[in-house]
This record gives sequence, structure tokens and C-alpha cells, in this order.
Amino acid sequence: MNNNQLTPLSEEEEQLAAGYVLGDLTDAEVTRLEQLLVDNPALQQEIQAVQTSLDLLSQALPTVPAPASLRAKIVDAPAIAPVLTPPSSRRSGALLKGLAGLGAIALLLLGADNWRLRYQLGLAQQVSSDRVAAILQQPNSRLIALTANDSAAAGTLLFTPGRWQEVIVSFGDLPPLPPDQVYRMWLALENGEIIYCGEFNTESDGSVFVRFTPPETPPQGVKATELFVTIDASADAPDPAGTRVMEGTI
Amino acid sequence: MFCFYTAPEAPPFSMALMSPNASDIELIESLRSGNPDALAGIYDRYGSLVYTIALKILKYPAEAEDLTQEIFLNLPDKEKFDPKRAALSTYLSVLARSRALNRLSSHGSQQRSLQKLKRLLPDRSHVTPLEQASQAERKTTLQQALATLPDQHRTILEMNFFQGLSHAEIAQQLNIPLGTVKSKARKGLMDLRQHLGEAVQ
Repeated sequence: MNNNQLTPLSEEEEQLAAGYVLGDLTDAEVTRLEQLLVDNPALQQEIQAVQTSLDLLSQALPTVPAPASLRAKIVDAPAIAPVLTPPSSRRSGALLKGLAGLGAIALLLLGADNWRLRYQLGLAQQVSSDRVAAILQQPNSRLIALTANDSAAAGTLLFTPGRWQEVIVSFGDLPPLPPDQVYRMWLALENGEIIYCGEFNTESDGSVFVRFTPPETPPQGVKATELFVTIDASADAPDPAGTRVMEGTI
Repeated sequence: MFCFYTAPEAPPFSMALMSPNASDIELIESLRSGNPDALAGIYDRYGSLVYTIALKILKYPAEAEDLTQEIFLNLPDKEKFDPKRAALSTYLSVLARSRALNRLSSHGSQQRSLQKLKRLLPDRSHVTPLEQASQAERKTTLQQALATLPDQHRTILEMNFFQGLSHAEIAQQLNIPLGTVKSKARKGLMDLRQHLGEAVQ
């Protein structure tokens, strides 16, 4: 927990910690932060402290009492459902299917020192037309079709083989999700691994147009075989065993 | 420097079947075991906190009420809150902000990045002293810390935090260079953290 014996931080380290929490680090700064974080528990603790400072900011607001009528709507709502429900067989099946990739994903997500991945997972980027043009100008750029299992949703993914660092996705008729859920995209490899690409929400008309810079790329020589999209709770860590709603073969 | 105590928050209303002195952890455990009275206890403690944040971001009371309702009614099904990593007040306030900004994004702003929303409570290992303080004490401490920041640093932080605006959008609205926004946002956050000191360690 709190350790006052840690080495004092430099101005640069404090700047990087603040930039990390604000999500505004440049690529060079992420690389520098990764270097500094090696064997530097003081810097790791500082990031937590800065994050906490920001997380608590909303509790400085002057309190506006909630309307009295709201309490009745919440407290007198119909009975609360039991919390612990057994997983559905569908989900269990999906879990087994995704099991092969889970080890790799878990390592990626939980690796204590993988700050770049955590940072990049926390960010996403909007699409600019020049990025689409840049990919389309590659002679070998490809479009992969994705279709939905049980809806009219359809879409395409644009990428350049060998350059998985940047992909662009366009979907239509994908149902908007409740605010606490997100769509997540995954890439399945021929060796059974599953790579997380990023998450997105639809516009109100069901359309999606996003650019991903997946933090992980397929290992050299390992082919990607399939793309799929899952629905997940936005508060959950990415999990490839979520309900699949769209798939496409590469 | 700071003198925080760890007593549970006192609820403004009496709770049937739940002790008014029940800790947050006891309330959550009771809720998870299916006791509906626990929800009343948690709402009485944190309903206005969630509503305040929702209203600040969404602006309209009806929308703030709707989000507050959604958060509390979904609480029994959520297994995400880990009392070893954060206080319940932190979890609820981060959740309220995240969901409110998500609603703003889903209303279709082309400029607003969805992705200011990081995963909830990343990289946490423990509950800090400031989170263990009473709501009133925490609010006073945070307000005092914010008051020490230069006006523009605080404004930039708040535009980013409560409106989900990117630094580029803030630069445009305030008519100042992007680099200035970035450096002032970082400096503002560094100073805030510095002022809070050991309370957030």
C-alpha cells in the first residue's frame, strides 16, 4: 500500500503519470513510461494516486439532493433478482470455444507490467478519411465481410495484410446497445489464439465507423482465420467468450 | 496532515431490517444475498451523489433521474465492485460519470470521443484514506484542493472530466493552443494530486 520509503519521482515521471491518467501520452511518451516503470514501484504507485485524484473529482461537486420521488422508484421497484445465476449453456459453449485463446488474452490483460496495453485498451480513435485513404492506397489492402447471426447487421473491415496495427470497420444496422454494454471485436488466429482489437458503440441509427489500432498483432507467420464481434458489459475486462453477434472469415 | 476516520456514512433515513450503522461492505454483501432493504440503505447513502454527478454531466433532471435509477436498479446484478480496491462511493461516482458521458456520446456528438471513458477503476490495489473519510470531509478536502489550482487549469480539467471534451475541443472552445491545454491539464492534475498528498496513496 502506502510506502513512504520509495524514491522521490522526477518531474518527468510525474508528467508522464498525469499524461497516462489523462490518456494524452504520445507514442514516444508511452515508450518512455514503459522504460521508467521497470522496477519502479514508486512510479506505479504514483499512477494509482493520480488516477484516484481524478476519480474523486466528481465528489467535489456541491450536492444536489435527488428528488424525493426518485427514492420510491428505486427502493419500491419490483423484487431484486437473485444475484448469482448459473451460466447459460450457450455461454458455457462459447466459453469452451474461446478457451484456447483465453490463456494468451489473460496474460495480456493481467500482465502487471503491460502498461502500454492497458493504456491503449483505454483509448480508441475516431476515423479520419485520410486514414481510410491511406489503407486503400496500399496495393494489397483487403476488405473482409462480416455478417450477423440473427439480425440484418452487416459490415466490412478494411486492412492491409501484414499491417494489423491499423484497421477500419464499418457496419450498418447493428442494434444500439444499452449504455452499460459495448461491442468488442476479436481476431482468431490459426493457432487458436484470439487477439482483442477494440470496442465500439453504434450511432443511434445502428451505424458504426471506427478505426482500431489493435495493441497486439498476430505473430510472424501465423495466419488470421476469423473475425468476430461480441457483446460485453462495458465495465468488464474484454472477454472473447462473450455472446457473438457478427462473424467473418478471412 | 489529514485526519480521516473510517466510520460508516450515516444514512438520512431509517432502514428496515438493516442497521443504520451497517458499513458499505455489509450493505453490499446484504444486497448480493438478495436483501432488498440493502438497496434502500445504499441509495440513502449515495443516491444524491450519483444524481449530482448525473445532473452535472447530463444537465436535464429527467435524464439524471433516469440514469440514477438505472445505476441503482442494476446494482444487485453487478459483481464488479471490489471493496478491496475502491470505496463504494468511488465505484458509484466513477460509474455515474462513465455512464453519463456514454449517454452524451450516444446522443451523437461527432466531436466527442467515446474513449475518454477508460475502463472503470483500472490499476487499483487498495482503498485510500480519502475514500475512507466521510462524504462531507472528502468533499471539503477535494474542494480545497481544487481551489488551489489556477482558474484555467481547473477549467480545463473540468471540461475534460465532466464534458468528455478532448484537448483539441477544449483548445478550440477556449481559443488557446492545443499544447497549452495539454500542459495545463497535466499540471492541474499533478497539482491536485500533490495537494491531496498521502490521502490518495
